[in-house]
Amino acid sequence: MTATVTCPFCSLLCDDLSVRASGSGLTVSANACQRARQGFGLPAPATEARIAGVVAPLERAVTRAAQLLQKSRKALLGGLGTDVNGLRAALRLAERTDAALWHEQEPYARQNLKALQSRGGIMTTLGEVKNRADTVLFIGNNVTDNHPRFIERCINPAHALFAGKHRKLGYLGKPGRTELADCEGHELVTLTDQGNGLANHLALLRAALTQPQWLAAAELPAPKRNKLKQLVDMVGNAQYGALVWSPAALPQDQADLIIHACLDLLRDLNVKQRFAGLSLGGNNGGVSWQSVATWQTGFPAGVNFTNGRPSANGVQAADADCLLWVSGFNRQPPPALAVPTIILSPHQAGASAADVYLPTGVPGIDHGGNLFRTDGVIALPLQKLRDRGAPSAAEVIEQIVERL
Amino acid sequence: MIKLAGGKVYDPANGVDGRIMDLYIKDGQLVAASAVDKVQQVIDLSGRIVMPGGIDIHTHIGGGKVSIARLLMAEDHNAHVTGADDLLRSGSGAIAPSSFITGYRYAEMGYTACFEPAMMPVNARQSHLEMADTPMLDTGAYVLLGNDDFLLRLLQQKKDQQLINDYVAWMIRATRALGVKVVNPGGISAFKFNQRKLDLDERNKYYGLTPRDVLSPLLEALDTLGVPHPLHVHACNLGVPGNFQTTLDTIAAAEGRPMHVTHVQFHSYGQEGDRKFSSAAAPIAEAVNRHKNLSIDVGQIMFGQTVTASADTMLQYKGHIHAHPHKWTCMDIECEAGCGVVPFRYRDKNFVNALQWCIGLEIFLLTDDPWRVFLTTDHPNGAPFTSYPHLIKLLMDRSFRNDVLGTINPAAAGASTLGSIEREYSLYEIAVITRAAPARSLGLQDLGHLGNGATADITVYQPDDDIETMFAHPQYVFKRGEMCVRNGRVCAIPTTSTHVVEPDCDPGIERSLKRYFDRYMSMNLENFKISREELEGYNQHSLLVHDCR
Repeated sequence: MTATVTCPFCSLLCDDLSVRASGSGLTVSANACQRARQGFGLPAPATEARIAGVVAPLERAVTRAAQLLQKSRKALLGGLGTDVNGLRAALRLAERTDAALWHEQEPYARQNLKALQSRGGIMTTLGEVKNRADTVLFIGNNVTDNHPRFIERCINPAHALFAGKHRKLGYLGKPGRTELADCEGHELVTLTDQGNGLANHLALLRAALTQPQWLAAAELPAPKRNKLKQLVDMVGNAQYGALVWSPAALPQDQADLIIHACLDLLRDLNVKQRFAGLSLGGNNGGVSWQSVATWQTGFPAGVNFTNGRPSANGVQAADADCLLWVSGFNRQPPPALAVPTIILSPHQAGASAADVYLPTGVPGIDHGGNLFRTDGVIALPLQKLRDRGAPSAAEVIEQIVERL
Repeated sequence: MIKLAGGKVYDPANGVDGRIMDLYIKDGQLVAASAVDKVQQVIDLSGRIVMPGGIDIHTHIGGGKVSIARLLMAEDHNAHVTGADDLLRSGSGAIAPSSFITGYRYAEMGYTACFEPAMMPVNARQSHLEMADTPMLDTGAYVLLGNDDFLLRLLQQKKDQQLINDYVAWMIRATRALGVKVVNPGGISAFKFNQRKLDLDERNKYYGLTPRDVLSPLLEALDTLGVPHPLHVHACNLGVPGNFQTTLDTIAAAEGRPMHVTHVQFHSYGQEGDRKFSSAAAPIAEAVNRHKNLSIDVGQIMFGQTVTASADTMLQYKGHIHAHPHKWTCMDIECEAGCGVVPFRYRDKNFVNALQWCIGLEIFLLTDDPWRVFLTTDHPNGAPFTSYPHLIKLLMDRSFRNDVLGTINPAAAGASTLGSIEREYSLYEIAVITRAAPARSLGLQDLGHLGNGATADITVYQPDDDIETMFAHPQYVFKRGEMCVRNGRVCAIPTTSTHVVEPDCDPGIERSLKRYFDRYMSMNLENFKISREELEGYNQHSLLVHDCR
């Protein structure tokens, strides 16, 4: 196989992988990261559907799932770890059954949305950071942990159009160990590595950047003042800077405030220079969910339907009277709710306890499709890498819809 | 076989101006009476007005910027929710409606084909995915070039025009486009280098290129490749007082080659008077009249809340101070272009907004060849597309127009010649600017007319004393011969197509592009290209490939 395989296991969607069959899973032979190795290495999908833990013909299991959903009044379609077509099908099913939808990454995505919907943002993309950003500020602890090749691809690329080999990096928060190692050779300033008090440190930086006289007069310990001064110089000298955060890596009780502060800082900086934000998040189809939900319903998160009418009111999982759980990318079992549960997944985690288990393929391994990347602009095609006859979640959900 | 009997037909492409005639539909096409063997259904259209289905040549209906607009306009989506039923999907929004609703509302207004004018190459997949979820309408898109680093480098290195042509052709094919648009040529790129303005002859400080340097080879490429729709130009200095001179210079820069200047209302501003803002519609209209190589769409504004979405980050950033509500997004994208989304409320009592409204109408009324003028509001930038029936009434009814003029900011009304313009558009002319002319400009030989062999996209109106009511609620709309709107409501979901062109290109260009992608882009060349099978798989959309000249 050629090295153009798209990796669906994080929202960087690296598409330079080589993958070959190995045992019951697949082995990444070029451009692997930890997440890719693990994702491609999972065993091939189950082939047998189950009703109440007992193997059953697929037809019957699909019919049973449709019955459960039809009987429900407040079904929840959760997890939603699937591709664009799976999400389109899930929205159709929800509309037909007055269900709510909830993507597993939505709690983090909402931290971004709260800030973006009230302020808007000045944002950028992976290709701009890679080619243009001579200065990058990371906001948060282990910002790139869930996106392992970000530093390799965007900070240390072999070639860049505008930015030089050596970049200036600032950290507000605690860099991950591999991040630190990967960033060797670049100038690095860490304002705090405590990991807490992020919002305060961001406020300090913003004050120092926008009011130089404040920094001169402020009562600060000398080391902190020096670091702030270094960061102010670094930012001020940037030809093009990027502010990078990951909603999942921020302290959740302050995440929306921190993102809000990032967006405000970007507004301040762009009065005189160019600086833009990048959020790393939305793995497991999370960015795709926000995109598809927005164009189909007008709402980016918390979508639920009453009498076929969409709203963004959201729903508490505990209020659901039926759960359909879609988990195409990992072995995440559904939350334990005392309600009828239907699982669509390649993996049988939780399958024996579920009312219905419907085996599906892994998007980007067992079937093709599309996923959106973390910057929200680029949708990449996924490839079918093996043929074990596993259907896509979209196909299975459409079969359920046909039986309603 | 369906017979549409006795309607009053307006079919400008075939010179039919209000003639009572029968139309015959067979297998989704219009056919001659002589080709009729057996009529299964006769629909009596006596007293009705019949036109081809409406065609919107410039409407932002697909792609990332529209979804950013939806995300920002949460209040509008909460306030306008539509439920699903056995036939229709659900959705929300009145300003930048969600995709299904966009399709239904266009169809209910008698439109059957809409074209997304600003499809960024890296965002092409999303644009097509969204348009595949926009029912009722044939779609197509113009790929956005002229701020992409690859092209700017070719121009900087003064590469042969043949190479430019190959690149343009390759991009059209790879992204499944129907044409090419350029937005603020080189200016979106310049903004990334912190330049805040760029005149036609001002240099991008990195590449050393001026907008004129970018415009000219793109015009040349489209002309040489024989793409039916000429280069679709969003000129520099959008919205800037005094920009009409830039627009005139841009028109001159075409040097007689075919060019389409889009949302020209936003580019027709003078800086006379106390407020340093005035109408320059007259010199612009005069230039349009004189340059037969030129076509325009107007980009009329309407009063009320809307949201502006444009690739022109340089000027959207500048305009953010006017954002209402005060939230806005700008994005730099993949060394290729950008996108800026700024909510906006046009106020009839505000001098500038009121004069913008006058300027658009002046352009409609002072240009004398409707075949080179297309009706648009640059949806949603000037106003949502649902305001078209109102706009048509303003064009067709002078006394109504003057009544509205009497209610707007009086200084603006006084500064405009609008009140003295007597022209009223006829139904025939409306059929030209909303049907026949856009189809001809785009090279859609089977759309926009009702001659034999045409696709049976047909709109039937019930005449009404209020022309706005007539255009807002057609009695019937047929798509490929299937009745899909009855009494102003969608009654069937027809199959639709994506319109593309596939100009010839030397496959050798792909070798240099592959090298460039491998080094600089953040995705693989193979994954960038959209195959025919992939596109058709989005929603069983068929692909219609139009001939290049």
